[in-house]
Amino acid sequence: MAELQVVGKRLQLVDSNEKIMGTAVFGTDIVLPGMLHGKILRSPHAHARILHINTERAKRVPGVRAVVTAADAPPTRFGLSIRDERFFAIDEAHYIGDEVAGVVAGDEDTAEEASRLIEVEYEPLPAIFDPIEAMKPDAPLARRDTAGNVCKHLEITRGDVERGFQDSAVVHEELYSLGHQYQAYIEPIATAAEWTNGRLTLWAPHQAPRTQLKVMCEAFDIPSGAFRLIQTYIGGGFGGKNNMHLCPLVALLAKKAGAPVRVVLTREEDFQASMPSVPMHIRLKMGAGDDGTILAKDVYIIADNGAFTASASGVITVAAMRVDALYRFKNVHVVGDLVYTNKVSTSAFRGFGNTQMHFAVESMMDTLAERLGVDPIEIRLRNATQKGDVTAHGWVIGSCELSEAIRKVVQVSEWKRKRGPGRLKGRGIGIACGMHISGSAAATPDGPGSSAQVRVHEDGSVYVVSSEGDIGQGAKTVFAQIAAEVLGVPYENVHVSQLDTDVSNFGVGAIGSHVTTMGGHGIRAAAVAARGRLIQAASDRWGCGEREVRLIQGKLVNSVSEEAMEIGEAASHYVNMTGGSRLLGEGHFRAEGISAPDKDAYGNVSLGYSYAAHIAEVEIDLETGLISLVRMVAAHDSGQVINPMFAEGQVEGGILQGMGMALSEQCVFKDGRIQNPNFTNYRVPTAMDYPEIEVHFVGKPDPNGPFGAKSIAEVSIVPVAPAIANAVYDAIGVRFTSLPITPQRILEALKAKDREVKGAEAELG
Amino acid sequence: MRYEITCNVNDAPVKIEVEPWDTLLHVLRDKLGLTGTKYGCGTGDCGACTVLVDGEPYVACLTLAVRMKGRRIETVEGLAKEGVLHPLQRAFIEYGALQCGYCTPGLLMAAKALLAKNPHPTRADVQIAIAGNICRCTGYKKVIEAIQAAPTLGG
Amino acid sequence: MMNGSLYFEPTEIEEALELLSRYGNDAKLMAGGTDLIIDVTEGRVAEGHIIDLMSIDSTSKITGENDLCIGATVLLDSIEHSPRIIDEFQMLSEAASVVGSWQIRVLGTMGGNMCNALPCADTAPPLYAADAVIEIAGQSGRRVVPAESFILAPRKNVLKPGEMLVGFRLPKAPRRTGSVFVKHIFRKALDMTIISLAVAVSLDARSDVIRRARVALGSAAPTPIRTRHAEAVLEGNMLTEELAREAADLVVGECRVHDSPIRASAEYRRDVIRVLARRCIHEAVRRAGQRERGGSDNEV
Repeated sequence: MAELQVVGKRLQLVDSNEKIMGTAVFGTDIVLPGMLHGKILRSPHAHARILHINTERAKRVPGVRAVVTAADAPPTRFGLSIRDERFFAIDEAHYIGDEVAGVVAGDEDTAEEASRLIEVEYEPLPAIFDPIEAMKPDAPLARRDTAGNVCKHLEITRGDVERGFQDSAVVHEELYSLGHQYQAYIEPIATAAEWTNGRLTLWAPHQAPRTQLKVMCEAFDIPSGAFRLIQTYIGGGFGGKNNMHLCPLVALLAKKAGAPVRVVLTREEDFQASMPSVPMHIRLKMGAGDDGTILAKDVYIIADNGAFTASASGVITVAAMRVDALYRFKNVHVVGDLVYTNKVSTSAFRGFGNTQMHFAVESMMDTLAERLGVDPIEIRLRNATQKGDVTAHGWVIGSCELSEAIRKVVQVSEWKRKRGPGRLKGRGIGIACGMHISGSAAATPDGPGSSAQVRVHEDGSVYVVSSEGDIGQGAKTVFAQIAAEVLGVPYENVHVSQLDTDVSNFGVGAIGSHVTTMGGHGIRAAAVAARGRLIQAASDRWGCGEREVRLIQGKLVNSVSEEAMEIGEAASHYVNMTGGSRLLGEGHFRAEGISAPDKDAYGNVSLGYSYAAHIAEVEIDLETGLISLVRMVAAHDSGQVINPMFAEGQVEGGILQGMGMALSEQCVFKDGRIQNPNFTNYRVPTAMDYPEIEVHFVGKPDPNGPFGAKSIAEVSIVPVAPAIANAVYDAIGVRFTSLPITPQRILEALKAKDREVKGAEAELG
Repeated sequence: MRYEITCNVNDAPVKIEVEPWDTLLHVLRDKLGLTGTKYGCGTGDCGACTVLVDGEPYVACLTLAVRMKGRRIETVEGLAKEGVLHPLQRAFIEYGALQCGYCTPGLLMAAKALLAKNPHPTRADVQIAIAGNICRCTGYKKVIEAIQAAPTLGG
Repeated sequence: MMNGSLYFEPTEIEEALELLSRYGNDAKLMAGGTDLIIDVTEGRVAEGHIIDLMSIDSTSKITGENDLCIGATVLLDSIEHSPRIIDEFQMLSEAASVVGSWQIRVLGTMGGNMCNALPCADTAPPLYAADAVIEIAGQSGRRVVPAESFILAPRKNVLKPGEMLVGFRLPKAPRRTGSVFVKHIFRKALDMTIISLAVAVSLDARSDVIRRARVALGSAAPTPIRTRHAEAVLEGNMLTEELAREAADLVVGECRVHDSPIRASAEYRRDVIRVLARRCIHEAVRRAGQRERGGSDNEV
């Protein structure tokens, strides 16, 4: 195979200039002629009946164009999976922050002032905040429009779990708890909407435009042709922008106002009313044989849905199943309950449930290793999934370098020496592994695949029209590299469009680790199609057969006459040849052999599976509990890495975000109200918290990925928190089964341990 | 009451009419159309709105426009001169120090202020200088490398 | 008030006072504005006329031949980098250096930090530990209060209507003085203070006997505090590990910490105070000890 020229190279982002010069237009930057501003009035009650809304005073404020409530909206139900969303609260508010009314005015201040004049008569209802409490038979309903608080129940069994436990030398059971982690994208959620002749255009920093359009159709009960979504630049998503309740709301405001409307959430609103990660209680029981082989795994998950479902239904399924591709689990049993509570809706966060479950499983692996007297490295190598495996759920592992990743981080981090004698007090080192899907079929509303268009312009430049968009992770760059590679043109000559659903095909967007994988295949197919057209045009020009024409390093060559032509020339000829058609290659990729889990939850679900191993080193001040993440060594198997500089960037960013999850981030709720809706008290790692990070790539080309590539952006967060928790255990012998591991909890645990030791000594003495 | 303020924005004289409580962030973005400076939190916690005022890194969300009389304001839009990128901008691009790009303008301005005072900052110097700029995408590693490398890029 | 607010830029203290008296509660004194603007944005404080203090020359300087005078509107960034403050009141430079972020330090002032009157005001402990006094100006003239008495309760200071804080005076410290400030937070930046501590120790001119000790804390009570029992036990003695621990225990005893679910529990705070007090006492003594011995007994 020829050496890659563009794929695999450390190239700058294709949209560097716009971002670096401040001209990239994000959702918060959208300005439209005649645009008005909207503000949302939100429920101050966690659960309340809405008896009456009086908008008269608000409407009379000078500058107010419209005041909108549920009475002005279609009474429809919509949602990503379960249709439990509506425009504004109809007769019941389900959480503090729930949307009750909206005001449109000439400026934000006026809209805000007017919204405070809307009189809402509430009748508070009993609210339920704890999912475990919510499952009790006498618990109040979080939502009166449901029959019960459990909105989804799942159960999956493979193999013989009972027998597995019987055969185990060691069995351990533990309860792990994960709370709310907020995506903390620096750009808050924003949307602009404009109706023209019955057609709606939305501008939004949305990760998954196609999915939002589907929801808009359900919401307005209008066919999809009436809607257009233009994806702006996105200031970070991390899952939190894959479903925007603002989209139908702002569309409604614009309709009522008869003018374009933009709504930008304040940061406080974004904390209250976006969609943080799904908190989970995970009761995990695992059994291992003498040699460390895992013989059985039994899991019970209780997940906090919040007031609406959005992606939480998918998240709990992923939490239940995905980790079973990490190790060679044969006997597994998992039960899950997704439970409504009167708190903010929870949904997708990088890792999508897999992050939460890995924390539990990777913590458990260390515990089992210790009880068996086996090294944490050995137990992982013994159980590691290998290339060619078919997992308990029927997932086919086309490539896997997990064992190599483990060996790599062990070597680079000097694991053996650091675990040996002579180590400093308060220092610890821990390992965790992770995996994630790479092109998941479950996330694809139109079936697993992707399509794109590649145009060649008359000046030789190449224009890629992607259907997958870019959330800031560098998707456009990957697409440009792939197109440049196929066509043999310089990377600098390739431009990639902003996603506009009127222009591009349907895509999935940044969910299910879809973009580089299936998206990349789509781009490649389109580039190949464009290549075909170029050859067709050249052959027409030269009057020879297409078989005699080659595209070599961006030039068309007649292999017989040895004439050559720039691709721009061929494109110009094509225009002439067709009476005006610009040279366009349209291609699609339809994945074979994978599908969303069937009713038995069995079958291969993803193009590929990515793997990683992370080793974390921590340093703890034993007197104050202060903890520093000193170093993180990461080895990733993402197959052929398309852009190493930005693949590293994903790992570096994932490590900081995982560090936040492990050590400092948590939405604190009291009676359903978030107590820390700002960046002072919701602690996201700063530049001063940043550890040493080393990233290594150990993957081999995957048979199913474009150019052999696999995903990296989600898997990069998955091993981080458990690696840190394991390092903490190594440092101080305390096992934290819930996060974040704050200095206060560390000190409390050290003191408790000390009391235990002293108590035991007293007994002996 | 409206006040007419004359100041300098990116080397050009500017006259603006503002109410006393209008922030510089609001004026830059909504009155002058300079949307490169971003809204991230409105409470000075994230640094996305960092601009330079007489060379000092101010969070525009906590800076009143009415106080800008006669001051020299620099935003990201003024970094490149006639299409030629500032060395910091080139460094960020070369080192992969940006992903989504939303926090980038604020980071660039804080970095510019740092390098003007300290042309050869250590890693710790950079970390302190940008501690007030939260980035959720990059993990800071390449940002710090780019800022340290920028003085070597010349231009 | 939204479109009726006025903006004033007095250049003299008297002008500012006159405006304050004329407009009363309808006017807001503004130094850096970093706290006030957030209060207004978040609805805790109503918008009003703005009396911008940053053009007053006489409150913007660090001066003084013996005692150190710091004007109310001196920027935290300037306090952090002032060579004199670094030399004579290192704890104050250290405190200024960890308020917020660089962006906040080039806008914010110590006057604003103190007037905001929060128990976590980072500049308060060093001022307390320096025996600082605060100069207040009002229509009826000037008065001076110990810095320790300035903050009465969270968000409540001693200023009467029509008064403003104009400056700080720190008495010249004995030559062999060492001071240190620590701010205990979970991340390495940006957090609100969980505990802060300022310790200043003056050693005898010729021996290492502690002649004077000052220990002050932030976020350890509803207001910043000094812990005099701890100070008393240190004074007149040479520092030993045992003495440091004894003093640290006394510091803990004088604190009135409370639980904060988003920051830290009272018990954790007490544990940390004990450790940090001990470490700071050692460090302050070490820094004082670095100053050359010699000179007359009159010095202390």
